[in-house]
Amino acid sequence: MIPEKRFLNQIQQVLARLMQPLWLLDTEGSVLLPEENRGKINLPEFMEPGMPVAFEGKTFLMIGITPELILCADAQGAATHDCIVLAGAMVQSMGRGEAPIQSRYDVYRRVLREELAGSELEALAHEHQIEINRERCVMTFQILQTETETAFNMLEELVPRASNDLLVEMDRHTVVFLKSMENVESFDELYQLAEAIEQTLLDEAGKSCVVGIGEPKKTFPEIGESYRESRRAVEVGRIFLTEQHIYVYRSLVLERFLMDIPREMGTRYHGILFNRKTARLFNDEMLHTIEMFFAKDLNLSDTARQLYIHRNTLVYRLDKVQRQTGLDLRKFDDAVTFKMMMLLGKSGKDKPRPVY
Amino acid sequence: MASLKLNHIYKIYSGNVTAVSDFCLDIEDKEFIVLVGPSGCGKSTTLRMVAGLEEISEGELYIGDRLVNDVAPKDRDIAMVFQNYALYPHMTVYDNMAFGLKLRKKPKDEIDKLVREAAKILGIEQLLNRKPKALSGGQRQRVALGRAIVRDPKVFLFDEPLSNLDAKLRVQMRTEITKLHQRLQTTFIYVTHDQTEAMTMASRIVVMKDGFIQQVDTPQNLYDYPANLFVGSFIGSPQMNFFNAKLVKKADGVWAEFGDNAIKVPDTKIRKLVDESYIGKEVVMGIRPENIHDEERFLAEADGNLVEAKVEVVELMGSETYLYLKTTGKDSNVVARVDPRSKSRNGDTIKVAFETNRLHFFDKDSELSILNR
Repeated sequence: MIPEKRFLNQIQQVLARLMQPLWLLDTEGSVLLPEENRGKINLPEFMEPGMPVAFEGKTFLMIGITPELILCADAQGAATHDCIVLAGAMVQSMGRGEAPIQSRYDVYRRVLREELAGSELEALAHEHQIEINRERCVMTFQILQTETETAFNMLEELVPRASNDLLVEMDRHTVVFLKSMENVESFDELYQLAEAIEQTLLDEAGKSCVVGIGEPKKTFPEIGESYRESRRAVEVGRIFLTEQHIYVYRSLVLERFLMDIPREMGTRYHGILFNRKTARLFNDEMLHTIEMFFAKDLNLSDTARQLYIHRNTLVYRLDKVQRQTGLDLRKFDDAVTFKMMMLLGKSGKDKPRPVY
Repeated sequence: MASLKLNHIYKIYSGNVTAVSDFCLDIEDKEFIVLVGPSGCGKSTTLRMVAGLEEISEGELYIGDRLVNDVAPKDRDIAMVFQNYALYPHMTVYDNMAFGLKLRKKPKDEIDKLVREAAKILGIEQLLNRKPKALSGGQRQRVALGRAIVRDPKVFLFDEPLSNLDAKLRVQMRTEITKLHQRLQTTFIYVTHDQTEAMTMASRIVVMKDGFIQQVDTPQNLYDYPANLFVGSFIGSPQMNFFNAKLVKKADGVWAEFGDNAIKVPDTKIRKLVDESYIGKEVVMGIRPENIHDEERFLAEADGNLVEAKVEVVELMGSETYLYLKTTGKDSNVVARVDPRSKSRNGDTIKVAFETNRLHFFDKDSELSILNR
């Protein structure tokens, strides 16, 4: 889909003022701007809105508006990165400003994106009969492999909703389930609900999804924060809990803390334990053993049973770790130290690919 | 009801990571097949390919006579049960079981009939009006089974469905699922890492490791005739004892020497060892814990096949006793499963008899069974 001519003109005016030449592309890689420069450019395989990607000597940035647009600079480096991010933010804000609010769903979308606040928000909520003082929680669904149908179309059919629950389409792959908390007895119910929806999606549509659950919020203006938390839960969860699909913001405190540690510092501490000298010790088998030992709450017998190894083999492996690192993983303090150092390695890695 | 044919199936992820390699299996109609193996062996990936949740990289999958590689999961006529019960917390048991049928726009009276029939099969008729929070773990798992049953699928797929249950309930549900299979007379494919579940439930077991099938056979045959060292060690608890042994020909026959010990290989097993030129070579010798004895009558009949060992730990299990022994030399840790009336105590030095006609021999390099080829 090509954006309106008026919108393109506005973008052109912005791009013309920049010292760094930038091109505007559609999602096929066709150049939309500058108009005299028509042609096609190879796009990187994976892009996320707002995240610059360096590819084939160029820098790309997907802008999170509908229709999706891409900025491209024929250069790489810090200055290009900053320029493209700022230009992207400007185009995004212009793009969003363009779309008029036509329905209550537009209001929800804008509030979820934290684009509305104060009296404007209250006026729109009043106009669209949205209750301000209702406790709600955001569950963000991201659906894998939606080649033919949008995530919203699929979930709209499958998600059972109470009268005050709402599904909001955020983009082609992302749907927010705004769950009213009035009949929810405990927070665990939200997790169970997410599990049940995930299962229904598998059974009925054969699709996998990941779910992020934010914190319940007492008022309507706060749902943007809950949405931010749910996305953060997915972002952090996909790095640390790769086997899971449902991520709860409040359960990821340690992981969020580790993600906030500057990458350089994290890598430095990770390297204290995981370095060239210990590379042979910490092979896949040893790491799997240790992760299982932690998962089984440092219980030797349970771990050995789960791994199908003799208890003595497990003891031998743990002794080996102790000999080479000085950490006895059977002791809580040493286990905590090891776990933190190990997780810092994950937080230092690049972000995983988007789920779709 | 349907048979399945998995024909040279591969799953290769990006980066050339192969999760499943050359998986070939014919599953008969009404069979109860269990895929078993350690974490990362490819068993769940295989199940997910059957379900259609993972694309098949190479090979063909038939359900009945129909090639289903490109058939959408919902059109494969299968039902899946996972370890999490995944029940809607705000719905009753009845509504949870009926939900999928409602989505498929089935008539109300048909839904009612199917739900009540499934509830009867599972013995949960009295729970239909309860919400999940008022159910025990086992009851919730039954509801999850019920949700699958109402769909009347050709094939049931189970992915570690009992992992969330405690040990006692797991044993109980194991029996329930076996009974369910007998009652429904449908093809079941069941994934577990628990070899006890595999042994007790399966018509045939598929043992997997590193994406490859290691052996496919009935539970008893797997136990008695493991095809390789991995199967020998994986099936059976406590696991098979292994020794690095040298086969030596003496005037009175062939002996397996290990550590400071030697036992005579029975005549019935010598032929294959001679034919395959293993005499004079090192092999891996295996013996299951229940084939090592400390009782007088076995010691008397052992014909010199006695091994001296120090008792390190005695574990009383009630119906049997495990002796953790230490012999001399390499691979000196040995486990014996003996009669609970055993007089052996911690710290004793005892003699144990090896039931030599139950010995297994594996090639040291290929790790394949020498006798069961």
